[in-house]
Amino acid sequence: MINRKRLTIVVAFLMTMVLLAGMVAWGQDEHKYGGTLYFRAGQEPPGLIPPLTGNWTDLYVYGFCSETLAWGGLGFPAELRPVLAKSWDVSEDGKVWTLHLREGVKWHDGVPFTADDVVFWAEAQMDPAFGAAYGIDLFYVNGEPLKFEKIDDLTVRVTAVAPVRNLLAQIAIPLIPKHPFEGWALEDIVNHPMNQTGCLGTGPFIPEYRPDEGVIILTAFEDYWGGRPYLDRIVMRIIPDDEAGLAALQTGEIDWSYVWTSQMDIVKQLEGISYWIQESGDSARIMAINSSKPMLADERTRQAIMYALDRETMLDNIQQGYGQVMASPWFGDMCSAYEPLTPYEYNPTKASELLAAVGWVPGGDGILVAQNVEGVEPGTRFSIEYHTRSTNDAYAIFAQQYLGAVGIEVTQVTMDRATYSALNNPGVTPKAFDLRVAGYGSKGVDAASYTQLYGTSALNSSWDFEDPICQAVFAYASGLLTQEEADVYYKAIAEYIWEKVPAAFLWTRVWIYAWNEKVHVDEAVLNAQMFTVFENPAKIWIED
Amino acid sequence: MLGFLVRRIGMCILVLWVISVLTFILMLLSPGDPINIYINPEVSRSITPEAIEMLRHKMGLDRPLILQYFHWIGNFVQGNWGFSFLSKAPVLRDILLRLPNTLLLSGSALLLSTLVAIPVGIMSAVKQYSFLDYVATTTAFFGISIPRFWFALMLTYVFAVQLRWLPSTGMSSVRFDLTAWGHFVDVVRHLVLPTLALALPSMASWARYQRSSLLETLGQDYVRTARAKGLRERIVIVRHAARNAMIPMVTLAGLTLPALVGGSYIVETIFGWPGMGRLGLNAIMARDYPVIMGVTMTTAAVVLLGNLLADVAYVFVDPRIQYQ
Repeated sequence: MINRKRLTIVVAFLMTMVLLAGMVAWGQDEHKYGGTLYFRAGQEPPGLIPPLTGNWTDLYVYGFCSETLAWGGLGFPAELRPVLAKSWDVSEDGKVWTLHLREGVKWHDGVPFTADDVVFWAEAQMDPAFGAAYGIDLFYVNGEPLKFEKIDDLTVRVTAVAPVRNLLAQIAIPLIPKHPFEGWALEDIVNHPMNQTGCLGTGPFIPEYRPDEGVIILTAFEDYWGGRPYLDRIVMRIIPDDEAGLAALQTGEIDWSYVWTSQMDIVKQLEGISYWIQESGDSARIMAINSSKPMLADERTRQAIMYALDRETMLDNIQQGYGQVMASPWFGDMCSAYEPLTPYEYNPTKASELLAAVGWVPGGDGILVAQNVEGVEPGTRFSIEYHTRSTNDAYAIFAQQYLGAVGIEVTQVTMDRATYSALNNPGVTPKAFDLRVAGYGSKGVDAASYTQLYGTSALNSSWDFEDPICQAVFAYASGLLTQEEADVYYKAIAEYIWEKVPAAFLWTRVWIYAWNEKVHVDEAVLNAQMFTVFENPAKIWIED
Repeated sequence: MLGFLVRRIGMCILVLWVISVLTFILMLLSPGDPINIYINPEVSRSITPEAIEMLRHKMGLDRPLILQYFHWIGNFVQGNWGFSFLSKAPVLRDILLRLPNTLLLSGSALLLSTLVAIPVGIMSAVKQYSFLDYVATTTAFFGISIPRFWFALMLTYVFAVQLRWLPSTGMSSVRFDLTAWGHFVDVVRHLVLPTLALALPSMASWARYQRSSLLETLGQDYVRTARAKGLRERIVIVRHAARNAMIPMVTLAGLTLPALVGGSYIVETIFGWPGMGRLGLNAIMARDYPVIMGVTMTTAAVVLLGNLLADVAYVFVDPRIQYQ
């Protein structure tokens, strides 16, 4: 028989313990609230309405102040995390996605977030008049725009002309509100004052750009749906010079900064500074080879370039050994179709043999001369240009050294950004460069995201590469419903591209951040993907 | 005097107009298309050629060069300096936000140069060939020779990183717990290193000029007369010689202004100083034509105004000078 009095005492004791535990937990968190984080940004923001602009400063601001439907861009792991879309249903044919939006979300001015905002944002994104700086092609499937419809205030239906495998990862661009832009033509939104002062978002911080002080102040959003951030504010200090940025970290004038690999020797010796290195599996350095040029048209020539470059030594010198030499056209194992392929080991002898097979013979001055090269006038010297925007481009020096050793003369041509873009960017064909190096990022899980590199037209390609087999495979695989089915084709095409060598595949990039030890980021979770450094920036806290 | 001022202001306007024409022509004739900055085709492959042409028309870039210029100058004189291709912000607004910071930095450098160079130059001349003179001369040669950007980095390394005496970057600590006085002191502390870096070449060269000028003045008959009358040496130097020796320094100040304002481009970048120089440098790298024009015209106006003030100052420094 149960003693009621004793039972009452036990229950009361248990409830008291639970209450005390809660109070202790709350008390443990209480000290985390408050404080200001000083964060280094390297450039002035060209504008602050996502996605009209996109330099690194903008992306940091968006990461703290704006949100996507689901967390992460194309660089996110396979499992998406709901953000502004709390759940979604997909039709059997993969063409219709029904998004259920999160309740209780507000914009920074207190106006509720609704389906009207999603529809407005998507339609603006797809309209060239809006002038989106990135992502516009992510809202198209087989050349046709996605159709966004409001079902009710918290439900949006998205319809595509063909199955879309990873819609929310694909369109993970920060959202913008509808209400401040009512009455504004899309092409005029770029002149809205918010583009200079800071755009409304739903994120944990509210931006305010002060150009006369050279800072962007991010103030805690008290009504953030995920709970008030720990920090009172984040001050983004614009420090363009990298050495000045490192000095500011050393002196404590900033608490957080990105760091280049060349600065790591110093960073490792600093007391009171922590650092984090993400060896990225989704971005890489690539030396583009213009295969539309007759001298470089033969794939054996491009393979020879791969064999001629000692990529391990170059990695040690340029990126101080951080990162991995690429073993596939897919940047790393974040891509589900990634498999390491037969490596192009450093082998200048093999490079020379391939060049001889193409029809190049040694000239009197050590530079190869065309004897029987298709499309090249006999007697032409194998002399090519390396285009760059930098006067001290280490890649150019290595290219000259290694390719010169096998008889290819490389001349560095330095130009300013506008000229470089006019001559070499996508949207221009034929492009002027023979060789150039660029970084490419955030390709992520689904190899469909590599379409713009390997499966598009020469006009839209980064290196004038146009291959009908690649185009056909990418187009077919993008319409398959499951990642597993699509990966069969992506693995096959990876081997094909690896043989074709549209570019010299160099190495994966690394992202390094250093911070004062008084800053705590464990709960915030570091993840150096596009748009954000942190998965949950509201959970950054700083010791007083 | 009024007539002189009116004539000089007219000349300034003419010079500004010539600068605007030359800058406009040079900018538009140089290779590269500002459309590539405006729409960034590297990341936006879906912009059609038709959309690009629409933007080019909207920005007026499809018009003949001379019409583009007249459109720009017509708006400019009415206070509409256009919008940045990069940020889409009004150019005049961006410049007005940053100009005071650059004037503060350049003005401080000018003041520091004056306060240091004149006494050092006088001391060097009075104690010619002494140990102090040799130290001052050597230091001056050092100051004239070393690159400004290197000196800026050394100042940062020594005084900010190693000694922690002064801040290394920015115009203020951006702290929210400072009183008005605390904020003033904070800004002054941030001003020290960039001012030193900016002022070094002018301090050094001015000290040398002051030395030479005073040495020449000390050889004049009226100085000999003053000494012969039994005046104390200090009175001879300060009241008779030095004042006359400073007349060329007024010219020098006017000639140094372009270097100070132009030098701020590098110093502002290294020290993270949010001034017009940094805005101009970014605009040049990005081919942001409206901002380049705005910054160039503002810089030219500041320099012309400075030279005008130097000319007016002659009247007060040298009573023999009168403007008709």
